[in-house]
Amino acid sequence: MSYQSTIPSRGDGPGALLRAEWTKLRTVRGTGICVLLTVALTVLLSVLLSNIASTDPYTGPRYTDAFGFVHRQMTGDGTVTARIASQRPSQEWAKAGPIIKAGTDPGATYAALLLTPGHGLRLEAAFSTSIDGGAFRAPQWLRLRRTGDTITGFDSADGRNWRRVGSVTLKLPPTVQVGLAVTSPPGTVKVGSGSQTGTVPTIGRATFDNVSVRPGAVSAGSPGGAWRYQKVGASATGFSQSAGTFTVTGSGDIAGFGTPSFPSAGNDDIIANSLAGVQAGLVVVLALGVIVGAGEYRTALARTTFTASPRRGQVLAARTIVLATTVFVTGLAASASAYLAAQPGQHKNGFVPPAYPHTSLTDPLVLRAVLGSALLFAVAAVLGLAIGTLVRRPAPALILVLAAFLVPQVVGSAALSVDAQKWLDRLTPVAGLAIQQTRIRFDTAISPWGGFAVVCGYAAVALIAAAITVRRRDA
Amino acid sequence: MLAALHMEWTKLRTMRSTAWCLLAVIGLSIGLSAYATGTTDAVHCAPHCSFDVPRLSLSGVYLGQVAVVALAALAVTSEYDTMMIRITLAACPRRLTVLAAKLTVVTAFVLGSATMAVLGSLLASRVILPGNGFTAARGYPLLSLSDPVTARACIGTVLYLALVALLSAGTCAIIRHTGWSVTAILGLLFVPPILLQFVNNPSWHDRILRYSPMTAGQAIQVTKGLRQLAVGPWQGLAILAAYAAAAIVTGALVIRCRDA
Repeated sequence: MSYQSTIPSRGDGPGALLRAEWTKLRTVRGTGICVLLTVALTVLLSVLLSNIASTDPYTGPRYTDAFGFVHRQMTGDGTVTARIASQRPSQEWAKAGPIIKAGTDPGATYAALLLTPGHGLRLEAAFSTSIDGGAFRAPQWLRLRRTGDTITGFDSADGRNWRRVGSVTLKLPPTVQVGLAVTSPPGTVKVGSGSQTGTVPTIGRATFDNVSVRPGAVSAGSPGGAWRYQKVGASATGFSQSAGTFTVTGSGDIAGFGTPSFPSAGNDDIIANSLAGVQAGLVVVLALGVIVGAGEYRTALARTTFTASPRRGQVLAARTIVLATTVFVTGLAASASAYLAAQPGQHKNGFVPPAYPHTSLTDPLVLRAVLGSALLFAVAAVLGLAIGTLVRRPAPALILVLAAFLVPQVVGSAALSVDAQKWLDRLTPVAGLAIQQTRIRFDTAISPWGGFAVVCGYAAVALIAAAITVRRRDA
Repeated sequence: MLAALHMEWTKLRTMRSTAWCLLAVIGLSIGLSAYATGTTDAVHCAPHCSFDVPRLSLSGVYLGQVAVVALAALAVTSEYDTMMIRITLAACPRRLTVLAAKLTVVTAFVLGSATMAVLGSLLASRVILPGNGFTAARGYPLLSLSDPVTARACIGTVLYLALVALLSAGTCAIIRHTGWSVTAILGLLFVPPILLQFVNNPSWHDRILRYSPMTAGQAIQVTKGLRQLAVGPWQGLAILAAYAAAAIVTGALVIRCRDA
C-alpha cells in the first residue's frame, strides 16, 4: 500500500508557474534597478536632447509648385480622365496624373490624383491635403470629377469599373484649367562619408493615353480648347503628343505643408526625436532580459526550478510572459513620459508650426510611436531572455544582443553609404526602431510595422531555439 | 612581478574564450572594413564628394572593439564568477601587482591582435577599393603605410583598441559582474554616437564628439578635413586615455579596499 499525501496539491499549472516566475523576477534586486534605470535614462535623455536640439524659425516658402502641365480650359462641372501607361521611377515622390487647377500661375489652388513610384496613389489638394489612395502603380486609369467646389477622385484598372478614392473641397473659379501634371522632386545624395547630404534635380516622365475631358463642348479651334503645354514654376520639361498618346515630362514638386513630399525645413522627425532616450533604455532592458535568461544557470537555481516544475517549455513560456509584461508596462511609462517631457524643450527650441505642427499623445502617429516603443522594449527583453537562455553565460549573450542593437546604428551613420546603411536598418534588430518614425525621410529604410516585424522575427526564432535547447540540454 | 605576469599570461592563454575573442577581433574588423569599402564607390558619387579612404578602410574597428571589450571583460571578471580570484590573491597577495600584471598582459595581447586586424583591413581595402573607382586618377592613390597620415591612422587605431581594452578592464574591476560591466562599457561607447543623430545644434554636436570616449578616440583615424574636426587626432586619443586612466584608478582603489 502506498502513501498518498492528503494535502491538496497546489499543482504546477500555468497560474502557479506564472506566480513562481513573477516572485523570482520581483525579488531580484537587479530587476528593480533595471526598471528604475530604464524609465530614468529614457526620460532624462529625451529631455536633455530636446533641450539641446534646435531649429531656425521657418522663413522659407510655404509651398512649391513646379511641374509640367498639359492643360485645356473647362467651365463649370465636368470630368478629366486619363490612363497612365507608364511612369519613370525618377524619384520615389515623382508624381503624375490628372489635375484641376484654378489657373496656370504657380500657387493657384488645385486638386490632383497623382501616382507616385514609391508611395502609391494620392489625392492631393491646395498644397495641404494628401489622401492615401492605396499602393497602385502604372498602368492605372485615373479620373477627377468637379461638382461645384467638390473634387472627387476615382481610379480603375480597366477603365470600366471605377473606385472612389476620396474627395476634397476647394474654392475654385467657374473656369478652370484641367489636364495632366508630371513632376519629380530633387533627389537626395549623401556627400562624403558623414551624414551630410545634398540634392540633385530629377526629371519625371509619364505617358498617358485615353485622355478625355467631359463635357468637351469647347471646340479645338476656340481659345482654351486645344491642349497646351506649360512649365509651371521653374521646371525643366517637355511634351509630345502622337495619336492620343501624351508623353509629358516635368521636374519639381506640387506640395506644401501637410503633403508628405514637401522638402521643408520640417524634415526632422520630432516625434521620433522626442523618444530618443529609448535607445539608452533599450540597453538596460536587453541586459535585464539576458540576465533573467542566463542568471539561473549561474547560481544553479535552474535545477531547483526544473525540479519544481519539470515541464521546461512551460517554465520558459511563463518566464517570457512575466518578463514581457513587466517590461511593457515599464516601457510604456518610460516612453509616454519621455514624449510628454520632451515637448516643452522642442517648442522652446523652434519646433513650432507651420513646419512642425503641435502634436498630442492621442494623435494616431504619436500613439503608434509611444505604444510601439513600449512593445519594442518588451520584444527586446524577450530577445535578450532567449539569447541568455541559449548561451547561458551572461557575458557572451550580452555582447551578442547589445552589439546587434548598437553597432549597426553607429556604423551605418558613420561609415557606410546611404544604401548600405538602409540594408543594415532593414535586416538587423535595429529595424525595430522604425516603429518610432512618423515622417518619411531620405534615410527611411523600412515601414514602421515592417521594421517591428523584423525584430519580432529575431525574437521568435531565438525563443524557439531556446525552447528546444532548454528541453534537450541538462540544466 | 615577472611571476605575476607569467601567471596572468597562463590564465589568459588557457581560457577558451580568449582564442574566440582573438579570432573575432581580427575577423570582425576585416569583415566590416571589407563590407564598408565594398559598398562605397567613387564613380557614381557627386563630383564634390571626397572620401576619407584610410578611415573608411579602418571602419571595421566599430565591430572589432566589441570583441576587445569581451576579451578584456572576460580576462578580469571571469575570475570573480568562478571565485578563482581568491586563489589568485592567496598566491599573490599584492593586489595592485595582480591588477598591473593583468592589465599588461591584456594590453599586450590586444596590441598584437589589433595590429593584425588593422593590417588585414588595410590589405582588404587595397584589394577592394581600386575596383570601386578609388584610383590615383580620381585622387585616391593606393593606401600605403609610407604615407605619414595613413600610418598615423593605423598606429592610432591599434592604440585606440588597446585603450578600449584598458577602459573595459578598469570598468570591470569596478563593477565585477560580467554582465553589468559589459552593458556599462558598450553603453558608454555606443550610446553617445547613436544619440548624436538627434542633436543638430552644432556646439552640442561638437561637445559630444569631443567628450565621448568612442568618437574622441576615433578622431585618430581622420585624415581629411582636420580643421573642421571637433577634436584633434592625438588630443582625442588623449581624452579616451583619460577615461581609461580614470576607470583603472577607480578599479585599483576598489580592488584594494574591497573584499574579493
